[in-house]
Amino acid sequence: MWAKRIRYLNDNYARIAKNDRIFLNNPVIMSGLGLAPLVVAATNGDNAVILSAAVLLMLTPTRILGSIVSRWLPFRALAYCLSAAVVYMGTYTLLREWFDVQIVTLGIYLPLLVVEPIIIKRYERNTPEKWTTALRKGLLTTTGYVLVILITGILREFLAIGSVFGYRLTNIPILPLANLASGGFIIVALLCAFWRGMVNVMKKWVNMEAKKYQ
Amino acid sequence: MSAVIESLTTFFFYSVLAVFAQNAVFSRALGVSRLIKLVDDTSISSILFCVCLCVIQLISAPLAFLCNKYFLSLLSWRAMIRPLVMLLCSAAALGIVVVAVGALKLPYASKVAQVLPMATFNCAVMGCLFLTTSQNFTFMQTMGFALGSGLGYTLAVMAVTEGQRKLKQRSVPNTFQGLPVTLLYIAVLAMAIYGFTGHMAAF
Amino acid sequence: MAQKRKLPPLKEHEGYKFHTDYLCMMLPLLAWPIFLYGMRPLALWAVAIVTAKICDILISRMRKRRYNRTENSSLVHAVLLVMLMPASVPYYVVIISVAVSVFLAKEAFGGYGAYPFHPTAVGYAVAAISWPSYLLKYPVPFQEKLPVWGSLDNVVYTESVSHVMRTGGIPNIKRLDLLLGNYPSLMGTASVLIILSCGVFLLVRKRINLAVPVSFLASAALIAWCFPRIGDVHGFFWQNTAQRMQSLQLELLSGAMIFSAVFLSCEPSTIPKNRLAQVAYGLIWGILTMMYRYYGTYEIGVCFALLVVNAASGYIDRVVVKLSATYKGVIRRVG
Repeated sequence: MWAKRIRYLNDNYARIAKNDRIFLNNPVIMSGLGLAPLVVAATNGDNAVILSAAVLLMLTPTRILGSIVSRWLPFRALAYCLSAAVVYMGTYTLLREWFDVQIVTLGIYLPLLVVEPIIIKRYERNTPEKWTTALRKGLLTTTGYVLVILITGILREFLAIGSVFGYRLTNIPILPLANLASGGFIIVALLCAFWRGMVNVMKKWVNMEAKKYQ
Repeated sequence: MSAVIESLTTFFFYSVLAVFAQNAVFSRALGVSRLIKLVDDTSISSILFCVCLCVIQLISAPLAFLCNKYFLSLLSWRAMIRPLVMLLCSAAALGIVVVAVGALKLPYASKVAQVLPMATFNCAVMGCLFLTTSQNFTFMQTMGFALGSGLGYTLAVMAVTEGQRKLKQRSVPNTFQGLPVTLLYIAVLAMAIYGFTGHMAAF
Repeated sequence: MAQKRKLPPLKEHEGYKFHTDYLCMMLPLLAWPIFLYGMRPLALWAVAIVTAKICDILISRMRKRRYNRTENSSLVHAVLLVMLMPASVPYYVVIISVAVSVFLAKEAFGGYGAYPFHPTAVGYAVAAISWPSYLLKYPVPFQEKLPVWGSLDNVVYTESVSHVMRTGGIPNIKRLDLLLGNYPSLMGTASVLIILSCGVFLLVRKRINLAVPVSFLASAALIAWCFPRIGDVHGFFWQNTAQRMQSLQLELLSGAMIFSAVFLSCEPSTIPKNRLAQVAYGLIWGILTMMYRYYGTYEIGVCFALLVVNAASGYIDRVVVKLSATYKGVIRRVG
């Protein structure tokens, strides 16, 4: 059973990796999408949670609505952006209900999600998308992006202040620079490098395991 | 006369501020994803993209200023509707550019058409519109900041292209090749700018 | 019984002699802060070297290659970084800055000879932005020796020469004290006479050239002369020469200017290759440094300016080579 599974995984690795938008083909790590809010706004755990909630509410509905609207509006870029702007109105209302004025800490990066590539990038491919595919891919991409947002926010808060979600763990901050944009670039770069290293290790392991059973 | 000089000084000051101290890429990470794709993609001309971005920025900024002054600022729920209004201003700017390119019958109109949507609907353009409207800039401040934002983005594209040129010739470790090392390069330049301003750009 | 395969001996690294000369020059430079502050500078130096060594060993394990102890560029960058800090800096700041300098500024970009930014400048930028309170206050020399270990609560601090000039004041330091380094400053950047002697040695050994350091100091001197920020100097640049001379000496002899000109200016992988391009590089670096000193937030602006000009070094090289070729072509056609 295991041999069959591992051989299947090895033979179809490229296709499975392409469709796995959480670990093997994370949209942030592999394609560099969604960097602006990650680098500047996700400076601590609380901001990361608010941003994650915003992405959860926006990404999949925008993708579904965009796939429907773009069938009537041939200008795909405008169709997807307008869909995002409309979905944003509902997202903003809900976020104000849940988080009240705390959403101000995200500044312009909350409304910027309307044109963030990770939300609207589908417009660049001319082929129309079924709403069921948009739903599935939207949910997977959301999961991958939210995972990276939370890891980045928690890591940056720990390095810059020594706390996690406000609970202090150490009095000596390891890298106060992590709170700033330049520190954000460094943390995301290191996370990318580490994640890609893990993906390479996974690929090699699958290949070696499959060879044992051939 | 003094009013004209004062306006020009404000315009110039905000342009320089937006190019260097509040650079769209290095201080606020606006349009970083697009920049990294642009620098890697040889099929799209970076210069054409930057020119289109600057033109769209300069046309959409006054439209956004007028919408903010006479419409958004009168609404209590403006935060909810601001992205839609700014998007429509960018789309209007795009429409104006398309009509102008068509009327002037430019030889590379097809390349411009390919690049225009990306140059219009991106975080750098929209970020500038959000900043100028939410901080209630005057008209001259808005225009200066819009020009500086476009030029600052162009400068960032040139700097990162130069960095890519250097890094391609060097033995970067496998896991750092591509996105990670480019982000590190941008991080160092962001630190250099922070060393001048001493504080993070407000957002 | 299988015998353990003996690995062939490693060849001496190509940069070993180059960096060993730099390390040797750090020793006379270290003597002065030890004289002023006690053994704490030596302890900080040792911590920096050990951290750099550990980072090198870890990197060689991660990259699965043999550790070559003759590749000692990390030690030089670590020691230069420590010399740019005051003697009261905590040990953990040194450890983290050196680790960032070696891992991020050097190895992540490809290791020896591949980094586009000077690792010392990157390490300094990270430290100054992260811990400005530790890097921008200087212990007064000749108070009780700074403790090698334990709290620094009883240490008396003062502001730097650059800070006084920035707020419009004129520092009250004699020229001899400025040259000797007998005033509160960074560990290795104050003793200009020792730095210049080290510079002469490195020049004789052909580890540095004159193009970058001289053009850097010349452009900085020109700005300090024409646009002095101390006193109320008006008029053309040939007027008020006494005040302009005072500005020149204070600007050049403080704020790590001479130190950077001698030790940071000629890192081979960060500067242009063409000699004329190096002169242009030095001129631009000098102008940027003075802008950072006059209008920037951090007093030691030379490292931040170095990062900016490192990014442009390849472009400066290409432009100068192209202009020289065009000029020579014109001369050949005309002549």
